[in-house]
Amino acid sequence: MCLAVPAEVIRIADGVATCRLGEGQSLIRASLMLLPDLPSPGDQLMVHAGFALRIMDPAEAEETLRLLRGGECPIEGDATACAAIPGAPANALRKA
Amino acid sequence: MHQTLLRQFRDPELCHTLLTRLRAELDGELRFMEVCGTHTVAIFQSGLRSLLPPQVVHLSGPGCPVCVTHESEVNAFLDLAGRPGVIVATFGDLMRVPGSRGRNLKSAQAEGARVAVVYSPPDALALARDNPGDTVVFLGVGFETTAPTVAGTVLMAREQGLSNFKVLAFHKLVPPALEVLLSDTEAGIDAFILPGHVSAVIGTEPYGFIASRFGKSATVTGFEPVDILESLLFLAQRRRQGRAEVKNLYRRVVSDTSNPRALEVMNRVFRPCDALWRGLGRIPDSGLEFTDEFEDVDAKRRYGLSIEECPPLPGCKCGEVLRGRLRPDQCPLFKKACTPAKPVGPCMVSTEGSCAAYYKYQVE
Repeated sequence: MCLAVPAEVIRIADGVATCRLGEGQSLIRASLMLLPDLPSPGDQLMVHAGFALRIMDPAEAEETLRLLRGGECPIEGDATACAAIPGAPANALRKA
Repeated sequence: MHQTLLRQFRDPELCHTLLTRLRAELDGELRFMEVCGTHTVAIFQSGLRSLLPPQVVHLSGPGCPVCVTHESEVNAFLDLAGRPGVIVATFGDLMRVPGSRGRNLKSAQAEGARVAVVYSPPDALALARDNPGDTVVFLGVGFETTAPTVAGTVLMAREQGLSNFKVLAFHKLVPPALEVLLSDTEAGIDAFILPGHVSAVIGTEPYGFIASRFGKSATVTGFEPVDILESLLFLAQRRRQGRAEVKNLYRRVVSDTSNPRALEVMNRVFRPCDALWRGLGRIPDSGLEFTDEFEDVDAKRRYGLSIEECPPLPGCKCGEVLRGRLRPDQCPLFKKACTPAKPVGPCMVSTEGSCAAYYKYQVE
């Protein structure tokens, strides 16, 4: 029951977003009452139990993937630890 | 965000690289507990559990809302169901969770109680609108992810003038339960993977005590294999360094600060109170009760329901499983007296329960 799902905003009316669920064609409605900022069509929301809880940030997702694919290390300021990991560059430090 | 971007968090090649790095990082046993039921299922469903190095010991925590709903609270649901003029509205997972006398909402329904399964609290509100001669009582369980959605629905009910919508609220808060787990040395938990969507509401700041007071590391984590492996790598690194830190590795959804609007709504409708947890007992300030402004919505007051603490079900080890002291397959009832078709305890009932996950994925 505690399953939040990603859903893409299709349209917004009266504080409710109609969203496409995941990769399918199913549509769900999500109240925007719990969001501090209003989303726009095309935004991806994290929806739980009929309410949007967050607008997802694609730039953060891309940054995470870029760092991990570059063999970068999630330890800030610890070049020694990074160097000890096969394939990880010693100067690769994840941003805080 | 395009789905193609999200799919990259399941990239097998990247998972393989992270697994190699994790193996290189481990310098002994890493006993990690994932708190959230959705993580439990994700770890099994993706096949990750069978790929993890043997030094990585996986414990499932009390993060399935159905599993931690106390027998006494289920007894209150059953007390309410069947009362004249009452329609109980609930998430489907609660239907088969047994109370202290082995009865559940499904059996109450078979005996004539009006019990409706809904997918969201606003669905229960629609039920109240469609049945003006009855009172619809929504069973409010779940953590900081769900409590704001129930609080939001209470505000909607007031706005729409629906006085026949009530809530029987047994919501629970995650950080106080973590304190209990960290104080229990028997499970030997080294690190936590924290619930991603609870954190989407409360942020990461409330978890600081895990490192500062208990010297353990924890990550806020997404639900894809890459997310989980990145977290395990981080936790192994911190352990090898002898350092403790709480880290947000789910930045595409969670920020270090809370979702202020969701907390504002939750804190207007509810205030903290002591709560009973299945397996963990009574924990101070770990539950939510209605504020005075919304006491008219409180089904506990409206129907004079008493929540009397009752003993656990005979033979059921769900409490030990939820604390990480016992693996599901170490319970004498597992796959014998207790199966998904005939569950004895809630960890086998819920799809997010660790016993159900062990059963479904046939972990040896």
